[in-house]
Amino acid sequence: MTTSGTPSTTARSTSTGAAESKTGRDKVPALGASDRVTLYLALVPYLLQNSPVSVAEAAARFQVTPADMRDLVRKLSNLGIPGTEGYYLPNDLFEINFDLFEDNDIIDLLSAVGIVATPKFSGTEAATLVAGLQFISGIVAAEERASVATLIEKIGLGASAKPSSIFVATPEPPACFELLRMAFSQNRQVRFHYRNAHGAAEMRSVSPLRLDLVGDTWYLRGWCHLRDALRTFRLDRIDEMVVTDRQISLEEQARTLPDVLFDVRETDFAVVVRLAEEALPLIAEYHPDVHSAAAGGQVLATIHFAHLTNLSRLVARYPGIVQVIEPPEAIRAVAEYAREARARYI
Amino acid sequence: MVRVDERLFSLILALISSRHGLTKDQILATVYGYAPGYASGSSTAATQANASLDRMFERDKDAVREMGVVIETLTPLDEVDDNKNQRYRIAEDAYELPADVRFTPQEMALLELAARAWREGSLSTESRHALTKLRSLGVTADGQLLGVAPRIRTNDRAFEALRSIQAAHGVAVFSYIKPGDTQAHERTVAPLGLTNWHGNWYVLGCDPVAGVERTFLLPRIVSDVRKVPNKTHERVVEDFASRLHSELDERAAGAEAVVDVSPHTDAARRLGSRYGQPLEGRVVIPFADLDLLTDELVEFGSDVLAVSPPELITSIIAKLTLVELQHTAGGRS
Repeated sequence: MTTSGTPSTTARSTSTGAAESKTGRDKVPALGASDRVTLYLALVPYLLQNSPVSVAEAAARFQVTPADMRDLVRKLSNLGIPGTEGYYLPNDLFEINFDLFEDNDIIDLLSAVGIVATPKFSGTEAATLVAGLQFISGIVAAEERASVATLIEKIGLGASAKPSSIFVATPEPPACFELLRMAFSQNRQVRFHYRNAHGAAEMRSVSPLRLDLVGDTWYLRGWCHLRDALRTFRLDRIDEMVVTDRQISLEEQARTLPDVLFDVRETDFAVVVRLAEEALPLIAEYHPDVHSAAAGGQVLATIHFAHLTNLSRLVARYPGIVQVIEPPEAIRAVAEYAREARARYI
Repeated sequence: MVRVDERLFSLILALISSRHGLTKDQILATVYGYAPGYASGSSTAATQANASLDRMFERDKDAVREMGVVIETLTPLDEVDDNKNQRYRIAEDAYELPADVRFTPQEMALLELAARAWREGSLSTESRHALTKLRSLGVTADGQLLGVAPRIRTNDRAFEALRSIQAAHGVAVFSYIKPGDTQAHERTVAPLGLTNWHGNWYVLGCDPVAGVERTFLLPRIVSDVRKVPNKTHERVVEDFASRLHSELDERAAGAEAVVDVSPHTDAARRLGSRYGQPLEGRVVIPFADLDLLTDELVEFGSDVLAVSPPELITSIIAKLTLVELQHTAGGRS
């Protein structure tokens, strides 16, 4: 499960983003034009305050590759303002120490033109921050909740347009949230009663690695000592959690977590479903592998399930939208699932 | 060929460093990225070349504004009818983050987490740009919330289209399946605000003809959302998104469903953790939307039995019948 040959000691510091960039699945996208303009606007005030700084450090701060950072700096030194005569003269361009840059991979901005300070947020940028803060405010410690309110106000002051078109309700933290927070901060394993989707219950000992909140559903990612593998648990299926005295080993902490919640395992059951192409986003979390188009805007896609009950539940959640095509035992299982449920009303 | 990003950045630099602003002609004639192609004189070739630069400048202006950079236009008082001498300028105080908007390492940690909540959604570009600007302040986040990775889901196709039409004060058209309906109907609305309520996205819209407000659930929008060309809808300044949220809360407080759940099942545990533990096998669920609750309960199959209201029972049976028919030989659609 770990990426061989790339030991990571920062797999748990997800709040800084270091973990995601190392998973390999979450590839850094190529920079677009608006990404690059925003980077220029941000880089100049940063360098005015912090240069000289190594390319590596600047790249890490802005979460770009060192190659991208070098390219940005090289381009920056060719840009500037049109002088009084309408020509770009050396004094009207950004000036960097070229020897330091080419020989030592260090950025030293000697002079800047036009801009000095960090730009304001756009209305939409501010709205993403505000809605994101609303979303996380339920999971921060009580004493931090006041600072979330202050932050929302500050972001509003820093925006060039009013950030008000998006609102995200704060999800309730789950019952075992405080216990998990304690387990994370003290590096200790947890033990709990887990009931899977088809009703089977087991005691699990788990080294917690990360809590994922997706929409309004919480997931615990961790190393399961019963299965000896990385597993994802829904928090609303967990009961009777205790924090044990066993430590989370360094090896477990170093495990990289893919951003994909459910890993396709060899025991998984492959099922072909048919659905309208426009309905694909509804089942995105199952990572459908779309393989062909059927008639009338419909597509065929393969999805993987650990158990047929999970499949029946997905189909039941989108009645008439998701239809199982093969294998026959999967079709029968879904029909039986619906028939049994309907029989209760007769 | 000068790259787009270098031209846009040069435009920002030129407009911010010019005290009295620049006319369009000055911009096209001097700013890096436009200048090489600008032709003086009035030959046909020159006019054509300049017209294409002109269109490029109009697009660039929109792109720069979308990044949060305010471009002012200054028109000489006696020349209101003629935009030839209109001047463009970026005022420093409108551009710069105010000096008192600064963040502590703890606040940076919260902001990083907030911005990263969008990483798989349609607003991930905007949240990434917000982070880039924040990082230029040079404050390093002090990771308080170790091990927590919240994500806001926007996997409804309609989300991004509605949001951008809303931002432009435009009017949207889409097909929508109303609760209780089986057929989609075309709807024309001016989107006012988007709210995520209990994990689902809702949009508050105004019907521009009837002049009344309506709420739509994004997963029930079954077509692409299109913008009505050249049409805008003026609205008062109000936090529509947060008002919609309170209205959904109120609506849920007025409707209750009673559901029996089988003990020791996943349904008992999950409904219990969301709506309070079952009392003698029974949970009471406040709901704002009958169809949504139906889907949620149908998912649990025979582990749940709806007791009331009657329309919930009818709607559950209809959906179970549909699933069964679709998966029985001869019943294939």
